[in-house]
Amino acid sequence: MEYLTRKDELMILSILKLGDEASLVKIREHLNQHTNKNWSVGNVFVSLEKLENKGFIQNKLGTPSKKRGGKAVKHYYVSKGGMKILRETKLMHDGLWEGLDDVVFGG
Amino acid sequence: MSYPHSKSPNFTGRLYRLFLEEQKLNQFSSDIDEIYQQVLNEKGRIPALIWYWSQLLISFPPVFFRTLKWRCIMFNNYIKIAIRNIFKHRGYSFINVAGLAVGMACCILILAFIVDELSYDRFHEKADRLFRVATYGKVSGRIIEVATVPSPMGPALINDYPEVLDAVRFRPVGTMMVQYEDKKFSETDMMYTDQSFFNIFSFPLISGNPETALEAPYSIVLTRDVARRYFGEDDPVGKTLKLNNTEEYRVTGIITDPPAQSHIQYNILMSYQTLITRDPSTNIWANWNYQTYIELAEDVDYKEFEKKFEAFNEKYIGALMKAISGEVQNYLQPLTSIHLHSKLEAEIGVNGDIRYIYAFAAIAIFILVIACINFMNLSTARSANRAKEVGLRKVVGAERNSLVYQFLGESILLALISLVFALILVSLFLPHFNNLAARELDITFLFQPWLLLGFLSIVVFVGLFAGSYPAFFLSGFRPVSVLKGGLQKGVKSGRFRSVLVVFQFSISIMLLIGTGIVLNQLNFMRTKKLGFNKEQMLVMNLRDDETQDKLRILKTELKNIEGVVNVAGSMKVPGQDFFNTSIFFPEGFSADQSFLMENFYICDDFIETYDIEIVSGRGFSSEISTDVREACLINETAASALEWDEPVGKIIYVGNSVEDFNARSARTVVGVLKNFHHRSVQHRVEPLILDLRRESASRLTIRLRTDNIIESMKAIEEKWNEIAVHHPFEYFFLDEYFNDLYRGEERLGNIFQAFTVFAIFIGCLGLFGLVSFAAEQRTKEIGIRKVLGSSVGSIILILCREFLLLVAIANILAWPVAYFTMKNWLRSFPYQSDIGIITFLTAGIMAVVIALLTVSYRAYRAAVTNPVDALRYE
Repeated sequence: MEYLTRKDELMILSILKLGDEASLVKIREHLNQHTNKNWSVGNVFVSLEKLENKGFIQNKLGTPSKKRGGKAVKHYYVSKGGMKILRETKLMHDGLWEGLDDVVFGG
Repeated sequence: MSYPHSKSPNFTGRLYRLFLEEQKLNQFSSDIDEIYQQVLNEKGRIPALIWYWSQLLISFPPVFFRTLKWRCIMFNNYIKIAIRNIFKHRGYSFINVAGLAVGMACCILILAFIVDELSYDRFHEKADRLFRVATYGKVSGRIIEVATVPSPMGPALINDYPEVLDAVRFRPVGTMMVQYEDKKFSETDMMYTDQSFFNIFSFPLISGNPETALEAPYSIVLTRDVARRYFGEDDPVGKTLKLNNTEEYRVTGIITDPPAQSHIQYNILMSYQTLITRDPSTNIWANWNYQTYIELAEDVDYKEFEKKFEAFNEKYIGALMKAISGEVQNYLQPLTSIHLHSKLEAEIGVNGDIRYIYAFAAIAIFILVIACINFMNLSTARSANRAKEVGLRKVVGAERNSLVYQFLGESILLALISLVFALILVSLFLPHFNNLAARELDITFLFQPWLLLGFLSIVVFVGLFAGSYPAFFLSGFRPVSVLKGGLQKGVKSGRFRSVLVVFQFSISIMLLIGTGIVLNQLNFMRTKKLGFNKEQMLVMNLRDDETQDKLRILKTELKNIEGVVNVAGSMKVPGQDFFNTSIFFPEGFSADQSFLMENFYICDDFIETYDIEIVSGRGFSSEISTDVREACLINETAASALEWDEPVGKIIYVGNSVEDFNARSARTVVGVLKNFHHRSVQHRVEPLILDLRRESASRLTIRLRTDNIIESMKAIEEKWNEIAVHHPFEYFFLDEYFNDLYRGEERLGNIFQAFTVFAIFIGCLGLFGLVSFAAEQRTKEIGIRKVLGSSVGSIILILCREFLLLVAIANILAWPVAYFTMKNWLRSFPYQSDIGIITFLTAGIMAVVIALLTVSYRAYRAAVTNPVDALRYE
């Protein structure tokens, strides 16, 4: 049974959250905010590529804009395979966390 | 990576450009620029720049590893394709690899040889402060160059000059009989030398005291093998050996064998003091018989020191020189230069020749160049077929850089494979090469770091060069035009390739001619008329006094044996390279004018036994008793040098005693002999004077009848053992002995032959490859020609014509160069064979024939292919 790595999971969740606005820049910002870490552009860049190669995300080229010197922005979205593995990962995760909420967060 | 609106710095961009492909690069840079823009707007210029640079820096590792991973994957593909390519064209690949491997193997072997030769005598600890004193002498216009000096010179130099720290003298004595109890053997390579031998040279003693071993007279030091012969495993120190049945020596040590890379070779060493004790007149200044080596202090410039010899000589031999109207100059030879650069008389060992080193180095380079050229030629020829592959790769997305790396890598891979095969070949053929060159090289010389590095770089360089054509030329193709129709290889490269073939073949032809001339000269030397008859001549050394006393009896008894034609004694036999030149005072020359002549004594019947022709007068006669003291014989060269029309009856004065140079005795010339070679043919025949002795001889020559030699020899042995009871029956045949003298040149010839074969082999490989390729390229053309009716023969002709023309041009280039080089080499021989036009023609024809064979086979195959197959895909 295959699961997502932590990093992959974070990125997929970010992409889902951002919906239509999931460009590299936005994803990175989102991640920075939520993980309180400064993700380097290269890190995000390469990780997105890896996710793409594994087939969990896909990209769509947006409209070319003058702002970026005429190049089109890549917008990422989660593929069917990505969703599937996300589900499995979450289920596995929940399974392990079962009944431990109180222990960890209580007392 | 510039962003028009924000002027973001793009220096690091170049670094990323190396690692990211164009598309990805664009994305990455635009993403970064967008954020940069944000930061710029929010926080201002400086923070933005700081952020920008730090981002680039920190983003680098993930990008680097990501690219590395993809590069590895791609690398696997390249390797796979490279290997598939190699196997797809197995023939070409084999030819390519074989040619380069053989070339490199030859080069490595020659290199090993050269390194070995250059390293002679370098192992001595004091090697760079050791020098031999050599003499350049001029007497009556004749020049002599010897490696020897008078015996007292060594000690006198130490005495007079503080720069000379130590000196050692040698007196080689050749062969003697050595006996211990009942064990008796003939030993060779024996020398007298001083105690300082152990201080100056680095030849360690195994047992015995290096401070005193050769101090006392009649001390002897043995090498281990020699010691074993007489004493087994016992320690011989303190025991006594008997030499030549007369002298007793005390063993004072065992010494290590001299390494092969030492020009000083010995089996047995005896103390120099023995010579002085035995004969105090050894220590006179008038005898130049002793090789002397000196050790100079540190920081002494030997060239400066040489200047002091003039004053030195004036002091010690000034008067002597005046008496004989001669002049002498001494100079120093650095120890390490002796082996390759010294060509004097009385050398202590057999030296190499620096010219041969140059020649071999040149040959090694030539062969390597030929092999590399082949490699490049074939690689570029083959790669024209891969235009389609290039086109396809580009369509699928390969960058130009990747293609360049791919082709270069393939080429280097092939070259590396060749290197591996070359090393395998070297280790396989090392024993044969050792045989050929009389060396004992072993494989460890290969594993010196600089050497391996050198070869790797050559290999990489060759690979790069060979691969550069496809790498840079092919990768520049436009995919569409390449995929649409086959691209023709440029005409320019065809011309270049032809030039390379011509170059290859001219080198091969030069080597062929060289070999022919060397072999010719060898044959000439071996078959040259020597002026005496060397067939069926049995020679024996007479070593001890006891046997010498019985000389007369031996002679008479042996002569009586049926099968023996004649018997004669002498000081030496022809072929023994004694350098024995002395000063004589011929009649008619002014009182102090002297004349140098070579000299040895002979016994009665020598002239007859050796069949030497008498030009005028008579030989020595056994009837005339005064011949011993009053007669002498000279040869033609002497007669003409003395400018005597009527030499018979003239008187030559011989210095009687070496102390008193004015005491002379007269000898009358009773006959003139036709010139004969008493030294090897490599030396010019010089003026010679022979005198007669009846009471002793060092050598005994027996001429045998041609039939029943075995019977005769048995009889001789019997008689010998009867008479010379204590002397072992040892002999050699003069003709074999003489031939042995040319072993050096023979070896040279063999080496030349071997490498010529290799050069030609490599050249033919190249030619074969090229013809195959040309044939392949022209299959369609051949098909059409056949359909239109041309015969097999004419097609072969068409394919061959071009290449044969190239070989012809190669000939024209090679002949003059070979002629001049070989003429130069021949000049070093006083007796030279002619360089006939035959040699050149033979070489040329051989080259043409070989080229023809390689080309025609392939051409024939191409010519008989079914035109249907060729034109099928039209």
